[in-house]
Amino acid sequence: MVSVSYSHRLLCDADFILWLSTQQGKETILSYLMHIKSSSEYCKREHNLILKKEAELCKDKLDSKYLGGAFKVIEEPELLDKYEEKITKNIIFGINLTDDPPFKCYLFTSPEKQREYESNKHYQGITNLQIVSGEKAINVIKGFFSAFNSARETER
Amino acid sequence: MTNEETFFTDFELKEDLVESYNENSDIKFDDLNVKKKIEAFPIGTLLEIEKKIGSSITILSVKEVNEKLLASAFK
Repeated sequence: MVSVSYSHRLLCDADFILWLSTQQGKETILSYLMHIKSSSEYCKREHNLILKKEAELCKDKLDSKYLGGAFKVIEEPELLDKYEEKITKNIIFGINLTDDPPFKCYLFTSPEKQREYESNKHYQGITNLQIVSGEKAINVIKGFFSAFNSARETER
Repeated sequence: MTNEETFFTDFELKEDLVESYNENSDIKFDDLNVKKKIEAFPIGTLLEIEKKIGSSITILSVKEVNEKLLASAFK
């Protein structure tokens, strides 16, 4: 069985999906994300996550069936009720994910939103959650898929 | 108890799907050629699976997830 212990969980916002939808090779990246989600040793099928409200903002750009194949769509947990801003909700949710293995999380967003995330007061001093955007996010996905491919070749 | 059937799409690695139907007698096939098709895929192949849920789970069809399949994913 192909199973990979990826170094970080993946969480994304709508801005990342909207940014990805404008990129060359977006189908390849979507395929990589779907393989990563299905092969996680720690959290199979739940490795990559997106909050439901974020997913709803993407439905005009990406077929919800395939978005769900790449990122598990999660109802907003109660712990986010007391926060209003969507950026804050994503940060708090991402921090919460680092309570469980692999204890680290990448939060993917668009290059335009990265600074807004990094200046959010809830993100200050946080080390296990990392905000990543643009080509750096693509490189993370390619690196994870490369690990999947190596594991697959070993199994075959 | 209702006999209502629902249709949905799932994405699974080939070996996870094989394990599911080997361990769960409630998973059936619309056409046994679909089962043969699944078993012919190499380990680590990600599949788009059309399922019907009623009194049991029926696998209707499978397709390999690749860039060609995903060409229409973005609108």
